[in-house]
Amino acid sequence: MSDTAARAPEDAVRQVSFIPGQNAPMSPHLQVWKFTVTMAASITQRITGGANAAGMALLVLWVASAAISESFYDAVTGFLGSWFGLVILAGFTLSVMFHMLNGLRYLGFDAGKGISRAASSNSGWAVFLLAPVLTAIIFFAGFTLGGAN
Amino acid sequence: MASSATKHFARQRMTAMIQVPLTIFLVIFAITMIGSTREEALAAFSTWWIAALLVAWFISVPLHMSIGIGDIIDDYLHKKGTRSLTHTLNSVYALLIGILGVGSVIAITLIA
Ligand code: HEM
Repeated sequence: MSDTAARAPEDAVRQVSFIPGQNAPMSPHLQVWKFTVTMAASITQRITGGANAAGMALLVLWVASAAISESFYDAVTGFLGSWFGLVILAGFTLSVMFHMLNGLRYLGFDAGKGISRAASSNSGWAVFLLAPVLTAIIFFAGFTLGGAN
Repeated sequence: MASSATKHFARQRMTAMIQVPLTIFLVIFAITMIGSTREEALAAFSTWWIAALLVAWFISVPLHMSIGIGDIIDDYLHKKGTRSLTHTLNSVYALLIGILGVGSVIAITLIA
């Protein structure tokens, strides 16, 4: 401990010489981190938010195509019903389900609900589990009860 | 409002709450629309309450996503020029989605 005191002034000098953008540490740190489900949910909320924004183009295309012409509508719905279209729709559905569930989780946090470490971790796992389950249920419903059947 | 950040925060949460029931509606509606012809689609889209919910969706989501993407831009883009250009593109995209979405629903209620 005695050499800590001796080193202190030197450290203080080093602190002052940190230059942002050159040698100052940044946060969040890119090399030192620990996986937590709350952190994973947070970054996934951002990714799904962006994916949802991209998916909105497809949704608009669908509604607009009905307004424009029969051949355009048939082309858009034909694409959405193709295997490639269905893969995109499955991804979009999963993205929206995750984002909605995790968004509700955040609205709860904002209201002060479930913010303990254990509760926020459990709800984070629940969102990662429920989003694919809901997506599977939606696609199952689509293939069995959907308008085409 | 105290500041634009406070306004964004409140709007982001307001639209988030509105979008939960709207999303549930949209998913169920989309399932019922599978395999529809254009004629059936026009009839559905122009049903007054479906049209109203779709219009609400196409107003709320562009607002919500433009605020959200705007925050992402602020977090990751630091060069002034690039950042303001990306903000402009973000606004244009949201406006395009909103105008095309609401416009299409209105057009359908007029032609159907
Ligand atoms: C379905 C109901 C939805 C709910 C409950 C919801 C909820 C939320 C919440 C609470 C946030 C704030 C997250 C934060 O501050 O960290 C957020 C961010 C965001 N949302 Fe949504 N949202 C929904 C739908 C959508 C849709 C449909 C889109 C896109 C078309 C979207 C795009 C975004 C984006 C881009 C962000 C910003 C993400 C970030 O800053 O990391 N959201 N959402």
